[in-house]
Amino acid sequence: MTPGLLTWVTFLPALGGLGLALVPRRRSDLARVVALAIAVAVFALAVPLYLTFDGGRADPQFEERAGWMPTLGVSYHIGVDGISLLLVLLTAFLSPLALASAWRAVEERTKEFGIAMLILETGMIGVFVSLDLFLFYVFWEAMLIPMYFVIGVWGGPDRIYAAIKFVLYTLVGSLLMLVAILALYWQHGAATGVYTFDLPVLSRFVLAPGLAQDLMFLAFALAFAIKVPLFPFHTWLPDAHVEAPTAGSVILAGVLLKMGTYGFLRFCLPLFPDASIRFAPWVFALAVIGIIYGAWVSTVQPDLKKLVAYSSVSHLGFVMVGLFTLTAQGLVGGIIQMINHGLSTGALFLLVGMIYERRHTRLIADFGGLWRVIPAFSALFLIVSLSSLGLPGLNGFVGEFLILVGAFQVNRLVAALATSGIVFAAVYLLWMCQRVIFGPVTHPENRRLADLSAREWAVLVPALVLIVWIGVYPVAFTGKTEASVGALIAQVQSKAAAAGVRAR
Amino acid sequence: MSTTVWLIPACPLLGALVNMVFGGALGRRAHWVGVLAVAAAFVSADAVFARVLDGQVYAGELFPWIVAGSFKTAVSVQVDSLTAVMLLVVTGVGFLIHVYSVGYMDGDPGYARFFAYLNLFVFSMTMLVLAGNFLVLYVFWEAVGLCSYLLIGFWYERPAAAAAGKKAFIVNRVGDFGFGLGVMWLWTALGTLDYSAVFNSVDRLAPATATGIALLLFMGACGKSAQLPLHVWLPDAMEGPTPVSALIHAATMVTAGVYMVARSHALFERSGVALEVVAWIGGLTAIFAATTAVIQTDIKRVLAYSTVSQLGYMFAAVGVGAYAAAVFHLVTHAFFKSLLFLGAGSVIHALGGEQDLRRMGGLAPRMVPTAVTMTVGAAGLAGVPGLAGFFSKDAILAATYAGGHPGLWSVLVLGAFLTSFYAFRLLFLAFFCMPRMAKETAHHVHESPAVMTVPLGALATLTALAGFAVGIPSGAGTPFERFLASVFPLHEGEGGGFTAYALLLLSVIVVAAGFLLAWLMYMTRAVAPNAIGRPKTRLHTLLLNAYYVDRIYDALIVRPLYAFSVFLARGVDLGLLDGVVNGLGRAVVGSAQRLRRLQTGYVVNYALTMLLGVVVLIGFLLAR
Amino acid sequence: MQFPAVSVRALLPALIVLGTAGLVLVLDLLPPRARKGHLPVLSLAGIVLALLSTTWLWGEETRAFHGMIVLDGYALFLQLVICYAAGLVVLLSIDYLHERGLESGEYYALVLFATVGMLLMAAAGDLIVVFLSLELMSLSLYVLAGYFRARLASGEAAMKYFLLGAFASAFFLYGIALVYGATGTTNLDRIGASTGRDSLLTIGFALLLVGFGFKISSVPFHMWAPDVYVGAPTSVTVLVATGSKTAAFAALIRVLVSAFRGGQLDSTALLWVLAVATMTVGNVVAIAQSNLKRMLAYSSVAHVGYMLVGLTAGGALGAGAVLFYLLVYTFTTAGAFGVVLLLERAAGEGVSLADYAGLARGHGVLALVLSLFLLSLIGIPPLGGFVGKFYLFGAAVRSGYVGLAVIGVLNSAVASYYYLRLIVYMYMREPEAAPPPSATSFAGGLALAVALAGVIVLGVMPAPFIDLAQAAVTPLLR
Repeated sequence: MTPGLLTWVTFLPALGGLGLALVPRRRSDLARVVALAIAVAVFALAVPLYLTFDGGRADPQFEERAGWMPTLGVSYHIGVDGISLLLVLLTAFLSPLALASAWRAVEERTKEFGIAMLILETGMIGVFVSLDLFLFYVFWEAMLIPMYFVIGVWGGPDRIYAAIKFVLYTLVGSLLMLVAILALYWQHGAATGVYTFDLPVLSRFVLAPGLAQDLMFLAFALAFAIKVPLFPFHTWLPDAHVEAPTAGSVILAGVLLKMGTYGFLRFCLPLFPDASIRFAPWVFALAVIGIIYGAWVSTVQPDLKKLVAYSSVSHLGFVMVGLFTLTAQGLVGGIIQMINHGLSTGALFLLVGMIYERRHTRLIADFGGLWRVIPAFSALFLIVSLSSLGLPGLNGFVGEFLILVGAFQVNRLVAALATSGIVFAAVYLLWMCQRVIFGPVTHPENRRLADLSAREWAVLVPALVLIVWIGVYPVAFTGKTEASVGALIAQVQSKAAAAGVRAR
Repeated sequence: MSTTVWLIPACPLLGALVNMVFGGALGRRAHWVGVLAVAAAFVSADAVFARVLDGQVYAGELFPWIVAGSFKTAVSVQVDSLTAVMLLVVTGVGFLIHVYSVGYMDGDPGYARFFAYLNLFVFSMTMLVLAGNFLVLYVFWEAVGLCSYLLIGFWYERPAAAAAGKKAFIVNRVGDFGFGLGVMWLWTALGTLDYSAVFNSVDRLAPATATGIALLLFMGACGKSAQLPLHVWLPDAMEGPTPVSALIHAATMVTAGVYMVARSHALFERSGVALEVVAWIGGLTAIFAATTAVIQTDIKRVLAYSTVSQLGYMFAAVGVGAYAAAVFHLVTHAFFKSLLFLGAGSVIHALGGEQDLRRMGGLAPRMVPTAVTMTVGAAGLAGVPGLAGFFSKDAILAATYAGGHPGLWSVLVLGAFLTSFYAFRLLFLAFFCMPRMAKETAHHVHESPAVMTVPLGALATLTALAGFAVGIPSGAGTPFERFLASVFPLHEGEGGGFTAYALLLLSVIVVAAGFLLAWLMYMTRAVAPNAIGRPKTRLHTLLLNAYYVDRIYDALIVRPLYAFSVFLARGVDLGLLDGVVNGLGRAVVGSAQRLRRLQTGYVVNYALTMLLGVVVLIGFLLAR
Repeated sequence: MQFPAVSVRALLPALIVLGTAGLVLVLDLLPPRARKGHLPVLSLAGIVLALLSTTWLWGEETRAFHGMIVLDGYALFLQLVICYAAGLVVLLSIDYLHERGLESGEYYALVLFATVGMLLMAAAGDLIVVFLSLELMSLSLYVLAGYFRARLASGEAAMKYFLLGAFASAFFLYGIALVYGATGTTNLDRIGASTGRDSLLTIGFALLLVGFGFKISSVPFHMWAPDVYVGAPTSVTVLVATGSKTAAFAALIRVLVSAFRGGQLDSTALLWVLAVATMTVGNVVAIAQSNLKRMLAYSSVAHVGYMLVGLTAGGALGAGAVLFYLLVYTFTTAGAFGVVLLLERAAGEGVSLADYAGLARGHGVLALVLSLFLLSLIGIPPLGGFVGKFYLFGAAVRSGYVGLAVIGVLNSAVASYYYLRLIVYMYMREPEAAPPPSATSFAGGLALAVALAGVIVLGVMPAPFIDLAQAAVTPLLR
């Protein structure tokens, strides 16, 4: 089998990472360039995926399949559909930005940093393109380790605690998911005689409703809920975010959290439709608590990174609400919101990282009046904050509104409570802006800050372009997902109906 | 017509972008971009108005916007007579205020930024009134809120300005919370958000559903138009530059709520309750804000509360079904209130930033054009017969009475009295009483440049003539009502006759009474500065503090929520949730330490353990 | 009574190693006596030859000596694993001993004798052969454990190992006697064919289990392991941790499957308890260790627990999973101990966590390699350890032991804590002292390379090996 485009997109980063290992240790400048070049090349490879993707078709495209462990029914099966396409692009898009943001921030072991980031990228893309449960799990776990290194080696003072917490927390969830994967595999095999980890095949399998399905759902859900993170499984997140270097935070918030929501969408819903529908009220409850709780806790954080970290809990709550509405609006909104959060929060972390590089503090109280000193930075900070709080015309609104429209059809109380989140988002983000960029310059150290450099502009502008693009013309993106979303909903509902439970 | 319509928002958008990107390079020339952009928009709006006058309407779609499943919306616009009127007001008044700003903002370091924001606002506001569906309306509803946020906080180095901008945005968000839910409900119920489709199918809505949707939408209007209980942001919004107060917080943006309710009157009418609520909220706000305005000492705050009050009148009118009257008051209010604000700005400019009425007085001889135009404005606000405000306010009072709301009517009449009083109080205190400012300040008093006074003159002219031009009833309604008849069907010959004249007379008496009281209090004797606005009774204190609404919100919502959030962050998140996780880890490590001690290193112990294992093993197997 | 036909084929791998051992002893006596470099090479050659013979014999199904020796796919698979283990041990020993000036012929001969015992255990079809080969292996290992005569800990380790080992052997022997008393035979197949269940057989089985439990270091018969692992020369530790365990498992599985399957007594509940106890105790206590060898000792106890999960699951799938896991485990554990061995200082120091602080700066490659072994031990894909665990827990879930699988994966999570902590020390802390002198050992490097290649190949391309393991156990279960 000759590797196709998607295989290249998936494995080029890791291959490049291995190649990067050949760069002499002392040439950290060269290592930076090579790492960035590889990441940019990956993005360049990923763009044709978007351009040639047929939004009218629901089934996976760019599919590749090869035997791997035939005895166990494991195959190398990858492809993208409307649900994963955008996430693959997001990953390929954010990785070069993250690497470029670390240009000056990562001074030590630069080469190793590039390697870790590139291997991480392969892991993330692999998660999104896998159409085989075993393969998916391999990527899912493999990606933990480079992230562990990124936090633990290049992180802040408390990085070791944060890194271990991140891995252990995630591992507990995903190992239970492993058991559920195995259980599903045997159930399917016993019922059909076909022993396979192939996702499309397993997705067609109607599992009898009952305890077994519930437990499997819960095991998957726990793994994903930790990753999302859904309240109350979020406490690893603030630590990981605060301690991670900027590039790590960007990837963590931008892509890693999406793996949780993507997991719900890709696995929980089609594999366990019955349980998904039954547990939807619980998911709604946790998601809505997360929306409001995340926002409130954000409000009182003294540290910029922590504030943004908790805001992720709130934002991802919206995505979860959207996914479990099982409406076209909720799902499309949820998917778009995943992208939006990746862009907005990613950009916020980039900005926080830039100001941290200048001042070596992230405490809100250490800033104030930055607009006077560094207007360009402040203006972008404001725009990104506005995008994060869902200002219409920018990206965040599109996703949130669709999610809420979806939620409104299913449960008005959920919709109303979730909508209150947009008020609180305005509170914590605008208050943050007020204290950081407005007002008089209160600290003399802030008087001589340099405004954005050309490199920093280059890092931020691509994100800003997408923020506006999605806000103004979202059809360019939603158009790619709609068919797949429709097919997914139909599948979930018909399976749930086949299992004898009336779908809503 | 298509191109002309699109030009109206496109020109200011382009102007805003140019000033944002090249503002630094343009420097003092930035106003040319800003003013010309709005001028072009105004010209286009005129052209559109002319076509609409000929009976044309327009509906167009730019591109599909948010699409998901059966949810389909596009960036679409529609132009009818209501839109045309609003466009004229927005671009016309907007143009004058842009011109005025050239003088007022002269020398400000953020000159280009100011015009960029202002153009952005005109773009957003024109799109708001052009919108062809509720979602586009919602978008620009928030976009004007953003501009308001940016412009209130324009002098960002003032902490109060930054705080006021944030407050405005957040309070508006509270309203938008309802507005958004209303839009969602509307779509869920009808499957469309297009105006025409919605208004043609309101009959399909159950009245209860219509009530729910209408009230949620109205919640948004309360936020945007500063109605009870979401009015608290508007007085604080006076932290913004005065042209901003005139354009956004008097003439245009704050009236968006009125426009929205009027636009959606079919929906509101489907639910009787909703209209009733709108009317009463409007009435209560009118009297609430009017009472507050009578004792304020900050010239801009008087005007701010006055705006809140006047918006209340408009809502009362909408609530009783007098849509055209409401829109007419919207228009005249735009004239005289922006005039008053700009005049106030001229005064502030002249006094070097002084806003306190207690330290003004006697300005009239030194600033004749300003004094004259301000007099026209105050008289217009008070409702002096002949001026625009008289016609529009009287139409509202008449409609309220005729619509069978005597209680509401009496409230509004009382409000009219108060309005007249505080309008003249402001005028007297600023221009005609004895001067009370410091000598040094008095010495520097000067009239503003022509670039500021000419717009004042234009607005004064409009205030003086608009009523005569289109506000006098003849046959079926006024010319203004007839123009809007395609949107708001004319009500046949209500009122009229003896009742109408009696009401008219009463209005005149009320205005005269307010004037007289103000005259007696401030013009018959010299007033000591510290006597003005000094709380003498508890009632005074209550009014001066605007019924303590801010403090009540602070005590009931803001502080408890903040404290609770701190508790969540420290107690729940770090204490409980993280504690459980870390505790689990510690428990494992702890048990590791304990288990480790079993490993003593003594062979005998090991052997004994093995022996124990043997016994257990055998026992286990035998037991089965 | 007819003298049984001598079947050389059935004993070929063992005979090759035995012959090599003899040759080593002889050569050790011949000049040049000062230089010993050729002895390990010879030993290695013998082991490689044995390894090749297993592949040459592949597909063989021979019973010899009245069924006392069974050379089937199962035996060959495990002999392959044992040969790998022995080969790695020899490679690791060369410079390790050289640096300490303790090269000798008898060391390699003993390693080879132990290997012979292990190879025979894998092919034993009779309890007597199991016992004899077990003793051959054990006695060699007792001596090897005390090989560092000058070092007190080494002697103590040997003594403990010997005393407790003898204790366990006694139980084992008594178990054989009881089984013989109950069934009248020591042949595994015939025990399996005997019907009826009486308490004599049960107690006999329990005592056999004690013997095996000791050798595989299952809880509660594991207590010797940490002390011996720490005290013995690290190269010997590798052999104890990998080869002897593989051999013991080989015999245990055959005994379980051939002699005690289903009919007579149901041991799954017992195995369930042993599995849970072994992995939990192993992992939890490992957390509290600061000596790397001790930590790895407990870790290897825990891995025995995982393999017991496979035994509990039973069937071809469970047994196949254990076989595959033994293969992975051998490479991984040999590799991990191998790195420790290379970094160990002469007096047995340099094996504490603190000594590894900042290792990545001084010894980037070693740190990376050790990290990969540790990640495989955690079970992170795409390394062999992951596939092994996947296979084991898959078998458990298949047989309905979902609870056991859950306990297993939770244990993996606990385990990841102490493995990751070591990575923390290597990568995320600053060195406390000057890094240890760079260990340049070609043979050691080769061993690590082989082990690493094994771990990676088994993780990325496990399919052929899974098929082999499956094919090896399927005939056993017929």
